[in-house]
Amino acid sequence: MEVPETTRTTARAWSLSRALGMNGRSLLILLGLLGLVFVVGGILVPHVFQVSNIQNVLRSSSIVGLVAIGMTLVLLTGEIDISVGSIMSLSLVVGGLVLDHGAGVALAVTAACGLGLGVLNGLAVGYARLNSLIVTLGTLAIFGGVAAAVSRGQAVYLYELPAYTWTGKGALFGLPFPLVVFLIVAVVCTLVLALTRLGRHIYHTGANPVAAYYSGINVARTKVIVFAGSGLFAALAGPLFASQTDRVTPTQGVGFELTAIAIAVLGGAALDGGRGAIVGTVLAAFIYGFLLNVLALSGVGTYMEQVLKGCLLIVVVLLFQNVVHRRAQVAKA
Amino acid sequence: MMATPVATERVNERRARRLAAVQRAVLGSNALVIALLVVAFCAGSLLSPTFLEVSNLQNIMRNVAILGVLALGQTLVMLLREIDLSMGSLMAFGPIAAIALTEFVLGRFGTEVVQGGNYVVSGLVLITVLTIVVSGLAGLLSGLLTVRGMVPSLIVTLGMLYALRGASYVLSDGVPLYLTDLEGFSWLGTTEVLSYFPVTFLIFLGMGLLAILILRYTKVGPAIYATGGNEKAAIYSGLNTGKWKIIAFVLAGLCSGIAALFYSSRLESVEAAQAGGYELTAIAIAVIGGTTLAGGRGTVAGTMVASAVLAVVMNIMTLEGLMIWYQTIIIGAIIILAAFIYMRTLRAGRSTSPGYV
Repeated sequence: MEVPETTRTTARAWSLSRALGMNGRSLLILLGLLGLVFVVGGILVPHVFQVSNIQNVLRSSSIVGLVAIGMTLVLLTGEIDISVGSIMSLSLVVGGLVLDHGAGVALAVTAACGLGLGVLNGLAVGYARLNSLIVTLGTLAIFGGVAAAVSRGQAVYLYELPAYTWTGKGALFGLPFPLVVFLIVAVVCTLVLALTRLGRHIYHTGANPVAAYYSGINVARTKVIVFAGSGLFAALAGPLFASQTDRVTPTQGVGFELTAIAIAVLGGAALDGGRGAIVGTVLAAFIYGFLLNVLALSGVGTYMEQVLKGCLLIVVVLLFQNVVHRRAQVAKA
Repeated sequence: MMATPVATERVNERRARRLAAVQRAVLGSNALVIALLVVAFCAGSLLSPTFLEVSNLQNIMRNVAILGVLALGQTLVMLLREIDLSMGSLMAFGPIAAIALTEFVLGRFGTEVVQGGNYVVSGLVLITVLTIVVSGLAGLLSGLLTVRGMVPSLIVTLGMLYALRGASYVLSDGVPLYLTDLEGFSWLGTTEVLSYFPVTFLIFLGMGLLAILILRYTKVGPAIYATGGNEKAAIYSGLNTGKWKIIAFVLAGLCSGIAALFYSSRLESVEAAQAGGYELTAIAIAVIGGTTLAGGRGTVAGTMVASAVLAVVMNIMTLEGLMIWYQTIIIGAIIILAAFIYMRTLRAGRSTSPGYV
């Protein structure tokens, strides 16, 4: 096990890498990768540099990035949440039931529903101490099934609710609104992780849950909180995503879990917990978004896109594991 | 108010030990899943008059064969503390790649393999063999990337899940391929031995039995359980844990190939979207059968019974005309319930475990 970053840098009172939870080298590599994808893609493929295209990419990568932030929090504690897609679907559908009461109520209900479902996952993992992959595999099926049952498989249309769809289509100070939400959530989560006791508990729980337990950290409660966050962020991303197509359907969230895991891991989050940072996830979301955009605009076709998406995920993690985090691996062996 | 870790531990320990003793006394380690099968079977025969009809039971057995073979591969991988999410995608990619390769090879000799765009007419042997070979190679790739590349198997096989599904669409242009005109292809999925037992079901039983015997009576068993239980200890006692992991991934790939043949032979068609989500069903079966994701725990027999449980439950729900969404809810609930019960008994075996984990 690698010596945690925090113990090595105790001599210094404050450092940027410590505040961000990520070492400078990893940060530079992610920034370089983002620049590379953007610039090379933009030079080789037409329309990438167009303002409307960039706005579209920022919008879509913010939505999936929001889910990935929740995933990162869960991964930091050494757990995983593959039910986020179903949480998104179910909370959208439940919010869709109260659309008559106005957009504000619907959005609030959606968010509350996601939070509640996340807490359920957290209770099963934290207090009942079930394996998170199995629990969320189960709730992936259950929440998805309930979403379909509640909506009877029907879509609800949002054409009459411009206030609702503004969340996905609107802009604030020239920035797409989903991007604003994404950045606010990212900053808040970074601050919580860097400055609060909860943040330290999250990292310590993931690094060594037994040690964390014996040093008085409420491991179970910490896990409930990260799963609640994951559920909430998935539910926040829901309306942003649903607004793009002006409808709420019970299958809208399908597949989000895999993309979110891919982004979190690309951003440096370790699957066995204790390592990862929100800033990495944010950069990875944009890398991922621009990569897909460049592929789509270059006309390789949706099928080939999927092939490249899968291969890139493996290759990038392969490089990270063997080049960037090599020291950690050697120490582990 | 918070109890001290030690006191909580002691109470939990006592409670769990009692629970485990009861379980052992009743039916042994596979008690839960056997009981589940009995309950499901009784429920089926009470709820529906058609449940016990021969054609329905054969139907169930064919489903057991497909799901069970897949779950056998998944169980092996999970015993080694890894996971394979690519199984469903591989079930589409295996046959599609095999048909494309066959078309390429036999095309050189002037034999027409695909007629009218999507009717496969010749190349039975080559297609069958190549499906298995391609699937094994895909498993080998996953294994090598996991062990030599040091990429977590969750990520490797997640990437494979995307890549293989996409490649299936690329190779087939998203058009279904029909095997109705391929003489002999439907034999596997539609024939019964002694006019009762589907061939695929017997193959599944044979594979399961072979796996049980190998795990119990050869050095393979201890090697696999040791690697999954405590990899570091296994390495220090001289085991090549990487080798066993690679072998497990290859076998899981082969299982996907065999399941794909069962599946396509029954439907007499292959399409890029087929068997989507089957990887999760395979994991669900392994979990219901008592395999844990923590590795080193689980039995092939448990998985075999669990695949019957799942197939029977799904059959009952279909006979009852339950909407598909209620079916997924019930399966999700069974997964969590089974995991919960196993966790309670598992904790009993580890009386020295610390307060948490």
